Amino acid sequence: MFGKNKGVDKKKQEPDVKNQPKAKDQPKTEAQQAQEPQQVSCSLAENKAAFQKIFSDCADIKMRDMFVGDQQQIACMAAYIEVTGGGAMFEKSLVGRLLNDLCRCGSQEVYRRLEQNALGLSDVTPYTSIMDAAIGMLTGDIILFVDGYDKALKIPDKGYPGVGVKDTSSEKVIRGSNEGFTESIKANTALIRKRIRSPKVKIREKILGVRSRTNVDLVYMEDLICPQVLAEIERRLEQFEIDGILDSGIVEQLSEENWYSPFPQFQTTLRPDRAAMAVLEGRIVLLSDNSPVALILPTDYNSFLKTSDDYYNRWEIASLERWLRYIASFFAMTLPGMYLVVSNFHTQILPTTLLLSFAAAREGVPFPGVVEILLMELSFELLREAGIRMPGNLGSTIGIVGGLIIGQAAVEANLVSPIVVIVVAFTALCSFAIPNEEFATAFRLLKFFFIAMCAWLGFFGFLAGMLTILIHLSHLKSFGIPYLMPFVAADLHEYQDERDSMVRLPLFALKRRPIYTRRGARIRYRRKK
Amino acid sequence: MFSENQKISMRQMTRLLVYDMIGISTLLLPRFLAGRLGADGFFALFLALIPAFAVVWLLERSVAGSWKDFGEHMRRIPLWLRIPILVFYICEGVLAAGYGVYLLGDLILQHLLPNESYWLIISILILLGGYGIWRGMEGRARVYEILFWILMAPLLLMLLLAARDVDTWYWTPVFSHGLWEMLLGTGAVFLFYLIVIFAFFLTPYLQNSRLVGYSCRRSLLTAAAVNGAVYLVLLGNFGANALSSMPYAVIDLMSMVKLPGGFFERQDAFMVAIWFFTLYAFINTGMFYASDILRFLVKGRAADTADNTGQVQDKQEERQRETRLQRWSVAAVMVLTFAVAAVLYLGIRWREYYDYFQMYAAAPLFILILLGLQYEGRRKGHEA
Repeated sequence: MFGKNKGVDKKKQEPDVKNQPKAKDQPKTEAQQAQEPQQVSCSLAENKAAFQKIFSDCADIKMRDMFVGDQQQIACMAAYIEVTGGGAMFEKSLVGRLLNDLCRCGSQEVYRRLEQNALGLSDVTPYTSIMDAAIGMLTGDIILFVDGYDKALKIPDKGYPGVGVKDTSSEKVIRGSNEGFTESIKANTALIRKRIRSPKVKIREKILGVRSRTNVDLVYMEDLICPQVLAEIERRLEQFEIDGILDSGIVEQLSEENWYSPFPQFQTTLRPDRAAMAVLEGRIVLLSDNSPVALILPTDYNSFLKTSDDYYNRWEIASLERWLRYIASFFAMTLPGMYLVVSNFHTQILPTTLLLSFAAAREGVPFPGVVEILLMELSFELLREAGIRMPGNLGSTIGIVGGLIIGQAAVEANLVSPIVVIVVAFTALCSFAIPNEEFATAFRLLKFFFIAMCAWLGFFGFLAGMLTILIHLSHLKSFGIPYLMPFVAADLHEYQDERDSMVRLPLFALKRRPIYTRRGARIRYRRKK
Repeated sequence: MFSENQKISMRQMTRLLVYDMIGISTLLLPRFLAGRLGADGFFALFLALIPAFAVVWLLERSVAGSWKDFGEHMRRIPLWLRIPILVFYICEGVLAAGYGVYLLGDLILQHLLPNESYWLIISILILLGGYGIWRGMEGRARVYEILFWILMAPLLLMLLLAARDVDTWYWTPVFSHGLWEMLLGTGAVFLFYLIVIFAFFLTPYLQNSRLVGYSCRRSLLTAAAVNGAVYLVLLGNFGANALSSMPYAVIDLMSMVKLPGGFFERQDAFMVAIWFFTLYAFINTGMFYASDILRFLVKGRAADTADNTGQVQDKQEERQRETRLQRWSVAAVMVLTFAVAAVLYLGIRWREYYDYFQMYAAAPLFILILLGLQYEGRRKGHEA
């Protein structure tokens, strides 16, 4: 059943200088060698070297050397993804049983047993090519190499983590996976590997925190990433020293360039599919141990308003939802300010009937408009904070109590007008429509800036505020990428990124990867002839 | 990494130039042209493209030669001539910015905040200008790249809606003015189009300076088309007589336009946004080039001194010095712009002086300098 044993002869393994092939047969270019699949050799050392080469910079791939045979005379190696095999379960697993059995056999018996599958293991796959073996391992199984045996065996094991992986608490989607990152960095890297089973996915491990010694992994696609971005994030991670890294948020803040900006320069996600998509776009995913929040870099304004299911749904509905989110992000920041502009400064804009109903609604309210708005906004922020901190179901109860009962009572007591309640509620709705929590926070903060500007200077204040934000955003960059891409500087990538911005064109039209990808590797889709 | 080079694309440059031109011209030209030329003003808007294209041709030849950008041009001029030219450019930048601030301040006072202090408004405008130039050329270009259609689309929509009320009778009579009057009107329009000459200072920031002429011509044509459309709609709505007495006719027009559905009673307050952003572009342009050239002037002097003494400074120190210099130049330009806006507000006579200076001194000087540089370039080319 299995491959033929060619025996182990150390002498044969040594290079035979005299019998080396002639020059015309010998030289093969690197490209040729890369094209030809490397076969599994009888030499364990060669196989190991080939595997190590494929999985260089992959901190999650483990290669464990062992010996089998009654006198421990035959070397072998088990290669696996850290969370899918090994650990405490190793001895109890299928591969463990096989190894135990092989340890009781003599040399020839070991090869015979492997060849004849004498243990009767089901679902064992032999591979003759190193690359096939590598890809086989990425399905979540263990690959066993035995010295003197010219095949690699794929033996099923635990597989990718499934149990223990919870649904995401935010970034919900209707269509698509509901898996969320866990607090274990190993499980998180495996969740990305589970989605991209390519040996080109690299995981570079760092240890940060002088006392906490926290593992931080950089996950990226070797052939897609811009090397400068990788070098830059590594440089930034090495620039600081801190007691402990308890969450990826600490890494984010310490390696941000524009610390004063309310806009996040790293994208955060709790979703492995989102992280995997970022890896496929040539971006880097930064995972920190004990944190279910992954950081994605570089990023831009447009990326924050995308969701995973934008790509799972049809392009028309995805585009409509994107438009809604853009409009929501604008109103989440400006609506209360705009209310003050039209109600206090430029009442001529509104139709007379609406103006009269505004006035009627405000009748009896003792506060000026700005105080009314601030009162309601602050109450809302308070409710939000209380809702988050309250345990379990009490959080939603607080929302209902606050929103309905307190709001209604405040209107009836003439503390605020119903219009203001509507404005504040609509603003809140808009801020919840922004898919990324950190990004939405920026708009929540800026809302107060706009309230102040509009209350002070009316529409001029609004315009001045808008211009300030625009100037700030137009200057802001995330690892060299303009924050307003692709609405600005789209020519850098021949306007390709505009196809996946406010409108998401059909998937077949998104032929190129975004600008984050290195030049020369930007084609992601082509139709087969 | 990707775009840390302070370089801008042709699209960004075109949009920047369009906004530099259309803000101030759509606000001031209709009144002037209606008073001087009536319906013939429309033709003046396009006739002025001829000298403007000639200036662009000159500019293109200067840039396409062996001297790639403004800085290189200047460094080859002898010091005794370079300093007065640079000082003239700085003055022109500050004057343009100051005039823009005054105009926008006045517009805001009249249409948005009638009871607010002029000084507060212009202070905020100048602070915004300072913030904008502090953020550099890339940021400036990006703001207008993103705003281009956001502002242009409502403007075109409003013009389209206002076109329903146009009385074509007001578009007559045509060709009723003499050659001299036409020349004067065309000359005035040309002054507004001469803003395109700022492209000369843009050249160090361009990804491809060889396309500067193409970009300038495109922006001139766009500006002329927008001005032409605005003028026709205004003339058709108000007539030449009424139009010549309205200070900001285009804003008044916006208050008359009825949107379909009729929810908004008046949108002139909202439409001021278009002129706020376009005039800000003009202010920012003036301030940016003034501070940029001021820095160039100071740095050039320092570099001369350093060369003579053989001082070598390390990069870190140089960067710190550059930041310090930028800070001071921005602050100086902000103060000077404030002073110009204050003077223009306080004395109506100064506004006339400003117009005369632009027409009879600044415009000819700009063209003379370009011609001189062209001549100098050719002479050096022959020598080489």
